[in-house]
Amino acid sequence: MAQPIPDLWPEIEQSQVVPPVAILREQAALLGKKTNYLLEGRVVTRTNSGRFFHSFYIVAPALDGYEYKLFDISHDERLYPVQINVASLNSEQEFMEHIRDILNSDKTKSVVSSLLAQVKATS
Amino acid sequence: MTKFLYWNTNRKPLTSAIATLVRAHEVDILILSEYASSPASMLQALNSGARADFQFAFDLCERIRIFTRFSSSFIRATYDDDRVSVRHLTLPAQRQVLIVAVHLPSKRFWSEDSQAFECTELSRTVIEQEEKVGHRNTVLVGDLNMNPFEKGLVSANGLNAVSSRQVASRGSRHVLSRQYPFFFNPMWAHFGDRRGHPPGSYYYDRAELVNHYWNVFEQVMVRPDVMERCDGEEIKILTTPGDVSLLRNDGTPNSKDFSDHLPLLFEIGLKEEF
Repeated sequence: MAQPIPDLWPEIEQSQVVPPVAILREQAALLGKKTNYLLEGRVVTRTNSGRFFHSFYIVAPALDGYEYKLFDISHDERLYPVQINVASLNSEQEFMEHIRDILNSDKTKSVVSSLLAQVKATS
Repeated sequence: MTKFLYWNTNRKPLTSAIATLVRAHEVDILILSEYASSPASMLQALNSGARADFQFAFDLCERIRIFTRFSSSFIRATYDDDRVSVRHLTLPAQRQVLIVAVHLPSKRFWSEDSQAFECTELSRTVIEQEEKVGHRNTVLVGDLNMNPFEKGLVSANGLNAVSSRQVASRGSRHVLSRQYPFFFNPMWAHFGDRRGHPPGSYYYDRAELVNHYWNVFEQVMVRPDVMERCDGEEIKILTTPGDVSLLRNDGTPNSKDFSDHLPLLFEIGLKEEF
């Protein structure tokens, strides 16, 4: 009688590293809460040739779903480093600081306030 | 016919020249990229004549500015990013059209491969916006910083833009079981010397072995659904606002006084027969 085939896998431990996409999704959810859901964040993920690409959008549901793409990031299966424009961010901490800079930039503030004004003007 | 004018003004103060072109050609939709002045100054110049009917259409893409000779409420923004602005044109009793205005990265900073990959992203954005508005009456216009024959424009997963109306009329093509919708790109016909026409829209001369000199970076392309409404003979690369030439004596763009890119004029028939 044949022996049962053993389980050859080690104990699988979940990584303690927070994936970049989780950080982006959290920021996307927060935008809705901060604007009474007049604006929402959306993260779209694609894969190509072993890389993960995430795009971050600001969406205005009241403007027939108008979308503004704020930035794109990419990384391979190791999660970090993350590429964003010409920057390469080697850790979760570096990535969060960079995202904080983008979300607090004059450009992002201008986009958000313009969209909020447009939503209120049309409602 | 609805007349469109596109011009990459290369951050030059060309408000007066733009207004002259708009008046001379009775333009309905003006699309500018790299426009240096404020939308207010452009509106002032456009509306300084007998007719004061131009409006500035709300957008968040600072690289691309759109002005219309009708209420801007008829040209609603559906998508913007740093280099792409998508508008849904819904004029009363006229065919709805999706206008995709683009200014893609320059060859000075991006490799040909990067430009091609960017076209894949652009293609995906266009398809998503077409699904959102529920039709493919799409007109894509702008400075692509690529010639019509380059990989990003002709590859199936790029813009899939072909030179032949007959090929484009098939609607789409399949590669490895994936379907890719066509664009028809009439700008292939704008290369080379033709009587009364410049040999391209952008001239670049550098000391390397491959040099095209004249390029057709300014392009308009249309989906098969609106292909018959775009008369290729009416697409013009312009060289004169009024009595002034945009070219130097040697026939190349006068980039000192004007832009290094030439403006593009075209028209689309939007009228619906009932």
